[in-house]
Amino acid sequence: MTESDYAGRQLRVIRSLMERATIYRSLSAPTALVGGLLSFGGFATAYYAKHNRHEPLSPNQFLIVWLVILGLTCFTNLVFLSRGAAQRGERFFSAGMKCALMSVAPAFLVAGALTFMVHRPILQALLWISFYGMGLLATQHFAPRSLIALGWAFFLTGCGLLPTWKHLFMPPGHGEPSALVVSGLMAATFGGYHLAYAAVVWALGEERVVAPATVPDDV
Amino acid sequence: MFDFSQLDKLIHEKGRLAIMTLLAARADWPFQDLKAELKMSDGNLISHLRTLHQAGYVAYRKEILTRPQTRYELTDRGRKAFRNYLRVLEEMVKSAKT
Repeated sequence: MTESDYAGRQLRVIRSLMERATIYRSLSAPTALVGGLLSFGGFATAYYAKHNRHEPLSPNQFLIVWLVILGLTCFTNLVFLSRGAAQRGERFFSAGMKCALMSVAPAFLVAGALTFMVHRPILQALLWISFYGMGLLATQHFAPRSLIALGWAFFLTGCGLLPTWKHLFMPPGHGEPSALVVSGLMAATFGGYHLAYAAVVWALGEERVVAPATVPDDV
Repeated sequence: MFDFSQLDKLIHEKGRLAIMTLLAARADWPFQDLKAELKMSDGNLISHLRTLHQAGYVAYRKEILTRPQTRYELTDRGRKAFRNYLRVLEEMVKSAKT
């Protein structure tokens, strides 16, 4: 190995060590894929209820369907994060995970509390979209770029829809948007955005296992 | 031929370079997190940290939250030495290209 090769290798290892120490992906691509597909499943459930059962989802049923999807997605995320940590030889409850949890907690807790104060599916969906984006953006100091972009997509969608949803989903003469319409919005955002995120992460190879935290031996 | 003596021998040691790299990446590190990240034994890590501390590259502070813990960080001198070490490596790569 030449001196230049050695120096280059040393610099690459230093870079990978620094990335391991500073970048933490709190949402894995496989989880985004599963969560995205489950979101479309939520829409399919609302569609089935309206067109096959001829009884649209009630606000409570809407909430239960999406809480089940949230629970399944969180469980999937724990499984994939745990597998990823094991592959990298890291602890599951690493410093990065602690930092991520502390960062997302305020936004997610407020969203959770408001969910049970607001009994209208459309407002619940807009809160989830906005606060989910805020939670992801709270991790931007150590999140990879794709996750920050996902956070901005949710946050801007929420900001755009909060003042305009009445015009878009409740035209004059129409009542509250149905659970099917709101589920469509959820599928478009939580489904579509997450599938796009998973595709980008895989396309860029962002989730490959980073080199272990070792430095080449001295020359 | 590049002069390897320009590389800071204190940092160049495998374990200490890993420690310096991690300390350069964040404001500070609790001892247990450093140990978990680097998969070093307590004795080995303490020994390297002591060497870096004696050189003035690393500072530490002890605190008691739910349990006592020691947090380590780079000093200005340590940060400067680490940047210099990186610069020397970069020059080695550049000199080979020219």
